[in-house]
Amino acid sequence: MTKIDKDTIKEMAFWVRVRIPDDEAAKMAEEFTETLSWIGERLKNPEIQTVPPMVTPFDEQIPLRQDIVTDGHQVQAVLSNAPDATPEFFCVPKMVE
Amino acid sequence: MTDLTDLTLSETLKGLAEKAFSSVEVTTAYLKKMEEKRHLNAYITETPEVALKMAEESDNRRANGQAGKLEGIPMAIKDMFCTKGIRTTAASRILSNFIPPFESTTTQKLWDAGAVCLGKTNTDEFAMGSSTITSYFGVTKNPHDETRVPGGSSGGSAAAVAAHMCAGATGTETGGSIRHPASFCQVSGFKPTYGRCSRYGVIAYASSLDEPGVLGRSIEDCARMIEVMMGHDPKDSTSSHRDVPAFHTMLDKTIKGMKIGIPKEYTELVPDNWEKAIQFLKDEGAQLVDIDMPHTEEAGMVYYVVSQGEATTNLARYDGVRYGVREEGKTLDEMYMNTRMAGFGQEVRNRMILGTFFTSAKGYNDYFVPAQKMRSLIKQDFDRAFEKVDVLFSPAVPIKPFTIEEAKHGAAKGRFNDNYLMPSCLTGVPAGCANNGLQVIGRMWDDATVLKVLDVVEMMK
Amino acid sequence: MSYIVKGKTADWELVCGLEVHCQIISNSKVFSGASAEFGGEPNDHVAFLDAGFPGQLPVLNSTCVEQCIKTGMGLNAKINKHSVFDRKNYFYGDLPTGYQITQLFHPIVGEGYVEVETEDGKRKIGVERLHLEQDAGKSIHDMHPNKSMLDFNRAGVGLMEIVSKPDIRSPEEAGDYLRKLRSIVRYLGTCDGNMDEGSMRCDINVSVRPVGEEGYRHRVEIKNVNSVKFVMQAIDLEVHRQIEHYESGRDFPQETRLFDPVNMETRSMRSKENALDYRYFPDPDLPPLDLTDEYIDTIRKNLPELPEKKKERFMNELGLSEYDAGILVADRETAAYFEEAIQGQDAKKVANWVMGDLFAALNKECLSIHESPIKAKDLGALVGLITDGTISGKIAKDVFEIMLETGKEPAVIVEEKGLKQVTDTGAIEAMIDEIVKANMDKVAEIKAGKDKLKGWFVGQIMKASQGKVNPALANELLEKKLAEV
Repeated sequence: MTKIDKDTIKEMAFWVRVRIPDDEAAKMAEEFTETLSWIGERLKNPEIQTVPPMVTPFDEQIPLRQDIVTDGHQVQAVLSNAPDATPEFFCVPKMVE
Repeated sequence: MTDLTDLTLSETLKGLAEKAFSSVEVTTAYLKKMEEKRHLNAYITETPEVALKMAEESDNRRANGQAGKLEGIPMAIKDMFCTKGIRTTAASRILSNFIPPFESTTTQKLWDAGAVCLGKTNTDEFAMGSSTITSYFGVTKNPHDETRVPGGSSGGSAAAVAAHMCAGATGTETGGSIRHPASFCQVSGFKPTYGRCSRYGVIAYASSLDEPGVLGRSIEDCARMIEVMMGHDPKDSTSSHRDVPAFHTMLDKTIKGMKIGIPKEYTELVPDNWEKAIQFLKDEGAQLVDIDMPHTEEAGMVYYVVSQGEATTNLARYDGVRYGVREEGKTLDEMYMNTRMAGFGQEVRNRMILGTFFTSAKGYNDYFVPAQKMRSLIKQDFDRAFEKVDVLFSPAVPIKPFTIEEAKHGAAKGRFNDNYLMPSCLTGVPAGCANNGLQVIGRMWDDATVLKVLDVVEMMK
Repeated sequence: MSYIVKGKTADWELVCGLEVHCQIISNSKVFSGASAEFGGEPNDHVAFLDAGFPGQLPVLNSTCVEQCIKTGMGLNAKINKHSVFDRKNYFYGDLPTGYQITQLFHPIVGEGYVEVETEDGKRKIGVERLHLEQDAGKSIHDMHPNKSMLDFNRAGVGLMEIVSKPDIRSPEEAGDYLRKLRSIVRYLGTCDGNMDEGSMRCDINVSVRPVGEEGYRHRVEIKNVNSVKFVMQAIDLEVHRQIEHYESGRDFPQETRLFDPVNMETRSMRSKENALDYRYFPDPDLPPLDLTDEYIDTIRKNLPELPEKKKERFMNELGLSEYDAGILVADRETAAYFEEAIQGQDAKKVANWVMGDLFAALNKECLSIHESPIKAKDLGALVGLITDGTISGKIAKDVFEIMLETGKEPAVIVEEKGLKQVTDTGAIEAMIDEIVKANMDKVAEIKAGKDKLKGWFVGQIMKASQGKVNPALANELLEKKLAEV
């Protein structure tokens, strides 16, 4: 059985760059552990070993695009919604190595 | 003169063709109705100027004999479709100032066919929900009872259709988000086969489930809109090359001799009109067949795992860098955190957090892949059913709309809320809800038969 | 010569594998129609997809697929008919969607090998896989005191990641492997291999173990090392650092490090980087890539000749030595130059000119062969002029110098400067007559048996003709004259 604790929830929150207060994380951990146990029970169904995973309902071949330049050259449009930008670049807080 | 907004889309087209009125007149009537009913909060963004300009252009085209299939029809667009130059928010604060520099393929097809844009309708934030209560722009009210929710996530579109604030509307489905509000607002809704409508320019929730569709006052209205929106799009690698028939010409009002399956798992709870509907289908000459869909019960679980897993990564791009609202921070990570905390509502944040688990190394092997296998079993249920019958028939949502208060306390988590809707989203089959709350599900790519049967279902008095 | 590091407690050997990212040569990006060209105005080669806009969807570039298959064939590798695109999830400024599209579970190319020539002879370095993925954007940190600037021109350019097996046993071997890999992709035209422009980048996995120990100890990854020399240096540094740790009983973490060529050290990256779970899963926006046998066969049929094959052919068909053939095939441009130059000419003679005078001249001017002022066909023509007796080998050296300076064709130079060998025997006989008449004393000495003096006469003839007389012909006519006198 998978047990999710508060710290795991907080780590998962960091993966998607959101914060979660300790008490909420603890509550979520408890509920999620319960949910996982319910899901785990349902997934014990031996039938699932007889079929491949279904990733998508789509059944056609992947389309291949011709290698020609059809896009770009639209700096203004690309930057038009940016919260912080120069006429050429998007700006973010200094990224440190 | 009658109120032009009382005409169905099909009737409006007829009136426009006969020059009984102009698109500008119809559009003006709808804009007036939108103003009157603004308190329903069906629209996030109204675009009266764009609408009147488009209506004028439409009238000119019609005068020049260049009328398209939806020439002059005023439509509402769910705020999940990117519209060039018109704010598109996904009902989220994080996109509350986003003006797309491009147009979604499906809305472009509508405009190319002559439709007129009235505005962008409300939805649950990023389409995650079935009450339209998680929107950053407030709750949408059910036009039939304003203390109740319109359903969701395409609740704004459903309410707008029901309140005659548009002639028809687009919606999107991931787990039932068209049929659910259609049922709650007593309008018609149709979700085509996955791959029929391009997803290009539609804000993604869960990519393997998302499918654009339509809501209208009748199935005929839906058929007219959807046949315009469908078709191959080279910008979407999961867009089908299959031909699109002219659905509205195929509604021949007969189901005589058709085999219609009634899945017993879909009749555990039924609405008041159910027995009458069964009798009606028999009277119309259909042959009813009892069907087993043994994995129906698992759909909710599979949906939970798959949709959250996919949503988590689809929503990673909203980081305050290239568009949308930013909350500053000293470091890049701090800026990301501040932006995403302030930008997303709690429901969306929670789904993202839990979604990470299902794609983590452990969650992927132990839950995500097994859930995808269960998805295959659900598909097998459909494959086997369609060996025996032409379509499946059931209630869409067997419960009545809950109140806004009930919704805020988790009423939408009830098991009869969407368990008749989810299996068809997971498997990609076409499905629709008639304006009397009854559902028809068809074979992959056989959208035509679903529409045809739904059209007959709507004849029931 | 094997690379064994003698420590205090044991003799240690290196266990090393390389992950090489090669930017694919294509017109447009792997999933968008924006230009894949290097450079450009910032954010000009950007489609909305490349900037991660909502609702944007990827569509696969056919050329990128072909380039991967070609490269896979160059690596003697299995081409997988079924491959799948996955999302690799992490947040970073240069990654506009929050995930990179790559291939984890089912790569387009499977196992293969690269043959390298080491001092100990030929060795095969195993290739684990090659997969197709997107490049990230670029961040610029020196334009503003507290902001970084983002440019997404590079974001979405196709990359081939080539992962070797842990078969590398010395820094030199790593260098040989990298150079060979670069030569292969350049031959195939799938990547330009310029490490200084970043179109070929290398991550190194290093671990050590006592000689004779089986299995692998834990490894350290050194990220983004951008020259062959640095790769070799970084490996050597890391080997000694690890041995020192083991021998002093200190543990060290399995981690990612950076190579600092200025201070000549590797140092740890932030630990956050190390704890990442990339949460890979199949991208639902892209159906699997299924290839037909016909498609793969067509690519195989049109595959350019690879260095190994070419070398063999140079030896067997042109009669070059293994050494010469090896030098001429080492890079694609040289081989192409040589092959153009030998059209209709004596290949061995051309080879001597290319590896001798031409290489020396280019070296002196610091030019690469495609910048050579002498075109391949002109060098061939020069050899032709010697072979057909139009000019002497000595004159040819002068003509070569003029070609280098002016870029003119050799025949034009010979014509303009009047450097043609004199073949009119009457004129030569007249010249000989004169010289003989003026030096009857020396003729007498020859008659008396001093044969060596014949050479002096030939020299006089060459001098009088400014080198334009064929020495053999001069000799022949001289003998005739002397017999008459």
